[in-house]
Amino acid sequence: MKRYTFIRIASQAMCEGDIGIFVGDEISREAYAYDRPSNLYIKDESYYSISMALGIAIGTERRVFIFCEDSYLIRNLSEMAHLAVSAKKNIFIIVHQKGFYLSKKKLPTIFNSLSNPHGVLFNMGFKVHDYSKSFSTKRNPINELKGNWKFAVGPLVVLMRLSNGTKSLVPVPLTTEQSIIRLKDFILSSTVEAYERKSIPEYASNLDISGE
Amino acid sequence: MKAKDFWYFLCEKYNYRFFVGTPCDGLIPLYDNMGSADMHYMPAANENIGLGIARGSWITGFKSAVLLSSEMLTSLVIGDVGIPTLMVAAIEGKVNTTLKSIHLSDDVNKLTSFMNKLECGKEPAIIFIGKGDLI
Repeated sequence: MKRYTFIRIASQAMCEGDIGIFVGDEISREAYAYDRPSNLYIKDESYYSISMALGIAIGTERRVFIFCEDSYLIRNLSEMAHLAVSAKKNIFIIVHQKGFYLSKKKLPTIFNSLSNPHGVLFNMGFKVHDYSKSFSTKRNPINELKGNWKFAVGPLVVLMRLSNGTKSLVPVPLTTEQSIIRLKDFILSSTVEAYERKSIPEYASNLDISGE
Repeated sequence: MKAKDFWYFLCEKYNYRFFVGTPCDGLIPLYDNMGSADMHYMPAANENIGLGIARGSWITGFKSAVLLSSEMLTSLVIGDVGIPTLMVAAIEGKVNTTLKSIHLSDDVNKLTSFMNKLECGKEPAIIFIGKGDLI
């Protein structure tokens, strides 16, 4: 399965209130073709997007899905460790396991050289799903993915080995700043978050890494 | 200024409730006076992760701040994301930053106008704390 196909399926499998964070220019372009108001596009990979997702997951009870490449995950393993020990049940990371940089002349990453990436992530504290062999015989992959995610709890990492191929899609017209403002408006426009929210210490009380 | 008064200023007056940071000697009076009833503190693996978490919680409508040492300001990836994050930095070594900043002093009016500007703006800003500023 190609990446843009998987992103289309995943976008349609997410619930209306779920937040999708897309890290990287190409992933953002592919996701923007199926734009949702709760999507956040971070085109610059240097912005520590996984920690931003953790901040969002702490502040809201919505499910937060992060879509990134294996190169980003490898580069930011300390962020991943943070996410794992936070034990937030509403965080899902979908990693496109390629083994090379898609946009940088297909130079290799070291992800595929890890002897057991599932084990690394599991021992950090994640639940790990691998969908590399899914969707081949099923008629409706969207329903299959919805079923997988319906009762899944985080922190969950989904590894998905994808085949080569990109589409030349239009750039995302939103800047990161506009995208952030749009997501903030979406979150705060819903009645639950805006008027009936608990205080942050209550929200964050289930974090294991509290300094208190 | 007393550390307790500073916490009261941030937590009660400006409703900052969530703090992320890395340990730093200059902020020990602040750590000593934290109270779980008013705030939540989360240790970060590094300053950029702390900044990311603070930005994320701002998106959901919570005010949060990053506690760090001034030496680490140079390694921060600020970028242009339009989020007014508050940073509380202990002065250690040379301070080299282009961000808006203020030195903590007993003049609450200065601090108040600084905080008001921060909340109206789109850029991070720093409150510097020198040795002996907090007791």
